Amino acid sequence: MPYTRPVPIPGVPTVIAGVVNLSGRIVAVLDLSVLLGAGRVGQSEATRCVLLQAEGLPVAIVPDEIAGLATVARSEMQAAVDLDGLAGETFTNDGKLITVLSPGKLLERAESQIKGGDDAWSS
Amino acid sequence: MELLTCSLGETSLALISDQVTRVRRWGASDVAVRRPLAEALGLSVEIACARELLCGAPGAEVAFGIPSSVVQQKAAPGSIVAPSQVLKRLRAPAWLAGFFISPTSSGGGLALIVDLTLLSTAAPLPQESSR
Repeated sequence: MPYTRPVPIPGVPTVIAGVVNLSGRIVAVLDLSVLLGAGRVGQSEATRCVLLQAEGLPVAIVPDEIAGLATVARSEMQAAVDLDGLAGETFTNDGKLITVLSPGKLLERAESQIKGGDDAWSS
Repeated sequence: MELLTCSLGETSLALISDQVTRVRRWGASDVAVRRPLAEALGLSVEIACARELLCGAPGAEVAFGIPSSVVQQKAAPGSIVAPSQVLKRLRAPAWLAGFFISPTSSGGGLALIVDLTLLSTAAPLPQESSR
């Protein structure tokens, strides 16, 4: 879906970038840069918000860029690199190794960062 | 349901309380605790307080400073949404009572519903500013 700047909530851990209104459903946006410990890239008109189901719950993430949509046969999936406990499996697409992130594990990571005190709190 | 709505910087808010509230001129009330609402929420914006909203039991009221641009609005059916399970799991603050979808709010027509009763008893936020 097109990018909508999340509405920030004061006092929440920084792993929550804010919330967006999706046709009357308020969905929390997880900040991937905090979850993955990566740098931030600014948003542009090409930026998209991706809605996921994590353990049956709707959450959204904002990737830097959507490279495409791939259908991968089960047989092409390989054991995951660990990626600090976030990855499910990997596959190869156009010679590139793609790591499959599990939405459930993203949510678990967010929870564990907060419980472990790794996460900062927004102001 | 009646809501008091206002904006603090880019943040739209809808204020509720299950205790009697009064609106007075900023500084006019005889209360022990008086705080700008932005400060109580941990928002790093400088907002001039024009009025104060009294919340809590008589004798133990807290006065929250609010801007002059507070508007009373009636919430249409379906315009109030409770915090999602994800937000609860990720420790959204207790004062966040939900979201008010209003065409007059900034931020995509979304206002945060602040329960002033819970905010008046909340511990101060950790001071951090990474965003």
